[in-house]
Amino acid sequence: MDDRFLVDRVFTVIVVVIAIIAILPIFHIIAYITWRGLPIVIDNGLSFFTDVPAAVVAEKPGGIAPALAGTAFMTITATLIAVPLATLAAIFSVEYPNHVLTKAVRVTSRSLLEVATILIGMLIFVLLVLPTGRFTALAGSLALAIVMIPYVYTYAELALISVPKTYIEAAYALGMKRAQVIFYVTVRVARRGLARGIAIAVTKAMGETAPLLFTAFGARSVIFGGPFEPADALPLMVFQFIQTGYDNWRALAWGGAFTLLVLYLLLFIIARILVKEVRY
Amino acid sequence: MVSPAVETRELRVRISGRDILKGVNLRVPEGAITAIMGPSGSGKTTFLKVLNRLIELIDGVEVSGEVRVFGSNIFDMDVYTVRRMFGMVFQNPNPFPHMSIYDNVAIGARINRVARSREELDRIVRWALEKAMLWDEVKNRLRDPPWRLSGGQQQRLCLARALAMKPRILLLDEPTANIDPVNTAKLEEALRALRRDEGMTILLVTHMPHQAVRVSDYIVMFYDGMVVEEGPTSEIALNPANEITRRFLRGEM
Ligand SMILES: Nc1ncnc2c1ncn2[C@@H]1O[C@H](COP(=O)(O)OP(=O)(O)OP(=O)(O)O)[C@@H](O)[C@H]1O
Ligand SMILES: [Mg+2]
Repeated sequence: MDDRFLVDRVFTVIVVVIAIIAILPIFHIIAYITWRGLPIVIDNGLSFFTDVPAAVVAEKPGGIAPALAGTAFMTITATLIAVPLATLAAIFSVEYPNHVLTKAVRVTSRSLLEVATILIGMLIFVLLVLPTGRFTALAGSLALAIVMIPYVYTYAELALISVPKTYIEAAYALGMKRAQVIFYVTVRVARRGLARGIAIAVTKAMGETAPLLFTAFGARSVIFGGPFEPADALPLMVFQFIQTGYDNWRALAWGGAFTLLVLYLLLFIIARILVKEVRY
Repeated sequence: MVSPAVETRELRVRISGRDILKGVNLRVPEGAITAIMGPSGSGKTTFLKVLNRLIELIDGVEVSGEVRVFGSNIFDMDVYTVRRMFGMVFQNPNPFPHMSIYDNVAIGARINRVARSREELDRIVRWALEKAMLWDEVKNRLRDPPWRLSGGQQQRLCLARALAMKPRILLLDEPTANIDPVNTAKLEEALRALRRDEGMTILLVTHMPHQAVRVSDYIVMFYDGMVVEEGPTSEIALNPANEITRRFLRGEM
């Protein structure tokens, strides 16, 4: 009896220690980015978010407005493209699990999850940037949409499939048509899972650098040139500026990384507050 | 027997090549409570789901034979029209978890366009909750989510939801299987009142011989996908002709 108790205790301690070791790097990253980035945001105040980057020799580093605007534009448009498409595909898969299209969509989605996102950027580069002869924000949106689609689809399919069948039976028994069952019952019972998938896909899109290298390319002299001009993005700016030797640009990179972190947290908090869990 | 509300002839159901119902011939009288009994797996749930064509949601189902509801062949009718003639209550309470108590009842009326105005909808919701013997318990918290109710209350909410669509026939699939005696008594009382005051035709699947005796006018005994005995409750309960029925009533199955 004593022995078993001891084994149990030792085991618990080991599990807790392993868990702490596993989470430690995440806390380390969060703490480090905050330590480097927060002072820069505070020093520069609001202008950090409203100015374009200053010259490398300027007294102050300027701001990250082009990166913010580009990220906002591309993430929102990519979401508008990806969420309806992927959600409809997921609804179709759950309604017709044995259809050939369902199998095709599943295989495509799995492969897209595995593909390096830089290849998605190169695909858009070949299909859109080369033919039109220009890097554009919209090309970046498309690349990000393709990055998002498999995430939204996978989470949506899981959420929809997890809706207990008994509610769906009850809905059909009331005389609801298929579309009514989906709209009034399935999608609403699954709302938390759907929102979770969208939030994860959006953070994915917000944090991607690789697909933008060959599509939106980056442009920092104006805040936002429009959908048909090159555009900047937070991760792109961080990635490019952190590698330079200029203090001003490195400061923008740290401040930008911190801003991205805050945006992540806000997104998940907002998603949690807006979309309530359905209890059964 | 009075004129039948439901009549089946040689009703057969195969699921993935297995015979589940093997030629059911049955006349369910209008305005009465018919109890369907039988051991687990004998096809009671399947029979109910054929009537409102819910069985068609399952893949690989073949149905043959004839089912007439108030004289019309249900397989010649639009499937939604068929389903709207029946209200169904399932074995486990399943009120829609994302809707308030009020909306759970209102949704049936809304889908079937039973109400023409907000006031009429309110009246139907109240009527359905009263008929389900739940009104007094929920009238001050119609906006609450259904999980605040006990299992027995939730089951009566499901009865109210079915009633709000103004069905002509009620199908109940072991509605009290997972419910305490007090709530069971309330649901039985609601069923008796519906038959008495509304002339509702009710099909009640039950495992409990006592329940069949308490509420039903007729008993139908299922065994292995067939009807082995049927008749007025008083006769069957007192002296069953069939050996299977006898053993079932004695609680040996
Ligand atoms: N979806 C299905 N797929 C395959 N077989 C099924 C399906 N539904 C029911 N069956 C089979 O049909 C037979 C009858 O099932 P049914 O649910 O109608 O029995 P029941 O009399 O309601 O039993 P219980 O008292 O346990 O509810 C069972 O053998 C069951 O395995
Ligand atoms: Mg059953």
